[in-house]
Amino acid sequence: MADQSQQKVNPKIKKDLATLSERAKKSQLKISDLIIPIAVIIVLILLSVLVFIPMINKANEYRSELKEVNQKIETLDSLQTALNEMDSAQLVSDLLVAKQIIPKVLQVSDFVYYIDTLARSKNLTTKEISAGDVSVGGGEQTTVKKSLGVSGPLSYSGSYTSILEFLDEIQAYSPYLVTLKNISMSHGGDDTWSVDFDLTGYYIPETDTDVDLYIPFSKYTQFSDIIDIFSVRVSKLEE
Amino acid sequence: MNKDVNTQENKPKEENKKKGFLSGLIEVEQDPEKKEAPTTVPKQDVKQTQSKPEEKGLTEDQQLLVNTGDGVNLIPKKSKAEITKEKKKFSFSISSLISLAVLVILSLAIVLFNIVSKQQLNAANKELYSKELKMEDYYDEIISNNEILDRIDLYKYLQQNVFSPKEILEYIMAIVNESGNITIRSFDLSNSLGFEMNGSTSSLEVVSKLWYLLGIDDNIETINLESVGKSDEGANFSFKGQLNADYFISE
Repeated sequence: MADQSQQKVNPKIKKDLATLSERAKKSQLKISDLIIPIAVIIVLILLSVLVFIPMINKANEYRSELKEVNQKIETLDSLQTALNEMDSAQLVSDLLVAKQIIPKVLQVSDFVYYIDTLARSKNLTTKEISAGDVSVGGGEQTTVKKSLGVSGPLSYSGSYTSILEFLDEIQAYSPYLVTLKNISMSHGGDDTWSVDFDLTGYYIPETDTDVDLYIPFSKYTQFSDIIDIFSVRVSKLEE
Repeated sequence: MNKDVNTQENKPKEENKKKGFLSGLIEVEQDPEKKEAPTTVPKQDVKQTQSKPEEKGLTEDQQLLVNTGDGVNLIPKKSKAEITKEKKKFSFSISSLISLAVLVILSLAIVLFNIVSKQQLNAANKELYSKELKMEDYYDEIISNNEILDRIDLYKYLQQNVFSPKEILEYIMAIVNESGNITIRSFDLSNSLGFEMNGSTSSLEVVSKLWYLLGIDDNIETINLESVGKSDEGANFSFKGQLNADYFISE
């Protein structure tokens, strides 16, 4: 009876084992299982090349531009702070003083008139006087703004002491900014000396200037010693 | 002998009809929870099965699976390869999900990064524009400041080469007077502090003394006796030299 039952069982076992084997085969890794990861990788690569990399580059451009804009904002903030620290009334006053020393326009007649008046106050006699415009500064190697000057050979005669005082006052205390060049003194006899020199007075013509807010700003007040010199010279001019 | 079999036969008829010896196996296949419960068969049946291996036509592994002593585990144990494969399949499913998730997260992150960057730039540009507008109120002050600075720069530039002719003349004249009785007829001073001096004196000794004194002076860099002449009236001389610019201009 058991044998009969066993004989009946065996085909079923075979069938079941075959089913199990089939299931085991089904559980094996197939190409279809890799489709999604591979597709994702391909899509990822395509997106990276076509979308992500350009987007990241663009975003980096935005970031660098943002950095520049932030720097500009900081520059404007510091500029505003510096300007707020300056006294507007004092600024206008100092500008007037500076423009008297180095005016926008220096009339040859005004300049010569001042020199001649000074010479006469020292009892010097005019031998020769002439003046004309010259250009100065504005070269590539200097930061000095291009300016113009009134220059000309001058010749006076008088006592040795008077000539020295005259030269000293022109150079040090002139209300205009002047330079002496090529000084030549000669003894004329009888304690009379004559002096020849080239004198240049400077001025800065007014030009249309565009305000650049982003260039480094320096306050003129850090050169207060020069402003003081200008003020002393202006007081001489007003005397 | 057939106590166990009888026990099985004693079960309700309906159950016996559905669950025979192999019907249990089929049910186990359909219901995974029952897989682990081994179905037992009578010992005698097992012995009979063992005594007739040629009947089954099974491989040795299948025979081993069927004949397990007191009971038969009809569900074969998974081989290592099967377990690995199943694990691999599971891991690949997870990796697919992870891949998709990474793709989505990466896409979102990049797009968000781009959008945030653009937004920040726009906000900064707006702020900059408003500040520039505000700074227009300060234009006059900036122009005035720059005009003063231009003049200060020019002053400083010119002051680099400014010297006092009075001081230089007095300095040279002091040396001349120290040498003896000398009359200076002319004195020329150039921009580079080069000088030329003509004069006369009573003797050549005085000229030589003057030459010596000019030569040893620290603030006269070079001195040349350009010409010297002796006549009945005295000696004439002409000196050419270069002054120390650092000394005279720094003063």
